[in-house]
Amino acid sequence: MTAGRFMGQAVARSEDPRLLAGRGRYIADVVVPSTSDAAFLRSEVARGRIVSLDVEAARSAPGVRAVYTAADLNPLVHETAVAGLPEGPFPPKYCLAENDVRFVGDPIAIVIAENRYLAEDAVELIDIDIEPQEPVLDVDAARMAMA
Amino acid sequence: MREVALRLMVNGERIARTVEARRTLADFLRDDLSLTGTHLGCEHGVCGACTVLLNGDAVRSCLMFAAQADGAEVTTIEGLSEPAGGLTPIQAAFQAEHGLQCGYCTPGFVVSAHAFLAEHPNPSDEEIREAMSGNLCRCTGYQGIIAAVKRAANNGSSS
Repeated sequence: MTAGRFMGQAVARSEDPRLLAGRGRYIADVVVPSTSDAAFLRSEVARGRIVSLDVEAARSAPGVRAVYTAADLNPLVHETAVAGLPEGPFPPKYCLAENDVRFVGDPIAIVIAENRYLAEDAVELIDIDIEPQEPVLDVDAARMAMA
Repeated sequence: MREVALRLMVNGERIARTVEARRTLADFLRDDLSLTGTHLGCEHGVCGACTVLLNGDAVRSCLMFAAQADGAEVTTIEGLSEPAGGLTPIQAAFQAEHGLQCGYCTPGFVVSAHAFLAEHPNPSDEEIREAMSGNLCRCTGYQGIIAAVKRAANNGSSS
């Protein structure tokens, strides 16, 4: 084997100078006219039942272009599966929380608005009632029928 | 929404704008001034990716309103870089020590290193670790970053 361009010596990364100078171009740096921003309503409890969810006030808030809940999106989104793994007793995964929430941060609704500030404003107008439940914290608990 | 008039220096340039009172300094720099080298990671003051210099001190621009920078001197990663594209001593040290991979957190680290080395030209390893502990990196790990700051200090590069 002979020492080539990449073998037997340190090779300086060609991308470093621009990344170090703040001249990288990440997705949030790309400006596309009329781009909307999203903000999420997320669960604040580890486990709970969604008693009610009302997004009407958010839908009519200034700058809001759309509000999506499980009722809007879940029928359109195929359930995800991990390729190559056998069928297992995995709970169904939802695009947005439907009926119950399963972890802190579980997304419940998405607000799309002219900008992030207006999207966050609208998220605060969503009326949600969650009845907290005892979270399932380990495998043994998950194997119990009641979990 | 209430708007406020804002005058400040950004990277040595006089800027006068009107901004919404609640607009963050990070959004003002990135979106209004197109200085996208300042990055937003966590948006609540934990990750340090949005670090900029405010009158020479390292601050988190996601936790400040632009209006709070009225009258101040703000320096971003763009202002700490060579306009012609060469690397400053601190940046060169980061490259030499493999102190970056994806580069997203990197401007925050470089800005923090500037503020730190300006005050501590001969830091101990412990001081470097303490000083860099306010910035999070999720790919490189921290050894290369600590080594980069040390190399920059040894090269006498407090600027």
